[in-house]
Amino acid sequence: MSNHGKRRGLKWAARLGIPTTIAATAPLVGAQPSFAAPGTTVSYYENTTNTTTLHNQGCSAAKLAVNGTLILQFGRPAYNGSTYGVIDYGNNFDSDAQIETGAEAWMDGFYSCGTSSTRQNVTIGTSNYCMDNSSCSMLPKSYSVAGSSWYGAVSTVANYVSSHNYGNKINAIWGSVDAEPAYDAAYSGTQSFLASYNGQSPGYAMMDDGSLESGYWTQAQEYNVAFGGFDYPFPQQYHPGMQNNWETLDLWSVSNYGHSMYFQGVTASYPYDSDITPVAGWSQMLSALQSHSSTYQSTIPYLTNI
Amino acid sequence: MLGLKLRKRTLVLLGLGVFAGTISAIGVVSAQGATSGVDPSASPAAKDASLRTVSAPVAPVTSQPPSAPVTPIVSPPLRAAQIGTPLSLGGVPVPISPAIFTVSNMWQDVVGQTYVSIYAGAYVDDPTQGAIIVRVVSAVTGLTVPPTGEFRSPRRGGALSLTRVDASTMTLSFNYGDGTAAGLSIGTGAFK
Repeated sequence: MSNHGKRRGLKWAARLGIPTTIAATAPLVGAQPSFAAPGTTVSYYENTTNTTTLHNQGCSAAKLAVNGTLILQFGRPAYNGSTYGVIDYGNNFDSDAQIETGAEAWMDGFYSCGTSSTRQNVTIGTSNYCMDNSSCSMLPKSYSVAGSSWYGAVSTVANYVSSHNYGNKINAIWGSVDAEPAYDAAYSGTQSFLASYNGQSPGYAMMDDGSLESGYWTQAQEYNVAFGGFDYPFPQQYHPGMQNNWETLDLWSVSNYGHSMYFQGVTASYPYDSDITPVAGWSQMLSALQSHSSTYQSTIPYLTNI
Repeated sequence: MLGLKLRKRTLVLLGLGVFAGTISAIGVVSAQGATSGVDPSASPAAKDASLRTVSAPVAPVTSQPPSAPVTPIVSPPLRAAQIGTPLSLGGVPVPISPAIFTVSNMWQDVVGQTYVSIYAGAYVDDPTQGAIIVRVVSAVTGLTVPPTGEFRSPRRGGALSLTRVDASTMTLSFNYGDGTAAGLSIGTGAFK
């Protein structure tokens, strides 16, 4: 959401100190992150796939001139009886074909308003909301088909960007999913969707910009969503403490698979949905990763606010 | 360690924009004592390749992208102007984390050239504190615009629930958790 209206959580602004010293020694438990935070991009909850609206939104996004990765969050998977798509944040059904067309218009707008220094990765985002709730309308007949259809949308937009020679400003197109355990306690819909998405070739990375509340999924399931297939963690960090579940999962990954996960980014939602600023959240997440040598990352490349 | 290798190679890719196919494949390592079966991750090389960058232009771009049409078509939401829970309205996604805010009920409609969504509820970490969250999105630009905001109830009476929304005057009525009726002018932010 934008910065309009009443803000809360401003008490956290005092924690905005951005560490800039590059560490020359091994990390210590509790050490502060040793690199400056990346710029905070703006991500969008979409109410429509209207090409005019999204063209204009893309232009506005380029004018913000913050390079990094941003999310176009279109909604939760749905099926209208003949085609797959989403229910968007305006409670309308958008087919995956409409998402493709709308996202392409967004890319047109972004490219036309970008400058020679513009560099952006864009994800085409969905969520696992309603995946285990039969009272939701227009539920997909098959989450496996929904996943492959989502792959089709992502790859189509990526090919559009490439064929239009936008690659010097729009560096990459990926998928993303706001995967929250509480949205799909049964897990099967999330698993089917991602397995199908990741089963396509060539693979396009899938950023997991969800949460990791405990008590729903096993750690193996959490790992599968966060780092299985072509998935990467890009977690929500909305209030202090959320990073601890991710670090616990990262340590589980080390113990069980012999490697840590690679965190591509952090998703913030400030000021409406968060107690902490984006930079504070990013810093907390990086500190957690740096608290153990086995999960150490020197930085987390991207930071976005939705 | 595989994780460190993956990170280093990924950072190289991200920093230099080099296509990942130039990097040799390394098999997935299974840790001794693994308890969860086979690592479902793609191979490191394939995983890096999934971060592929879009090809840079092979020739200068001489044409401008197509112009957008002038007037957007604004479609009202399903179940427009109804008050209900996200589920009773069909499973509409809410742009608010359930870890932060519990939505009691909501309302959506198109007002002029804007999408208006209003959510009532309370904070998870303080259920006595209710609030109304208003999100207004321009149908022309796709950006949030005033009076988007978060309006905390002046007293701690539990979760708020919408009872009436008048889009023409941007006013609404709600109940506190204890049943007390009250109102809010969205434009001014004044409770009454």
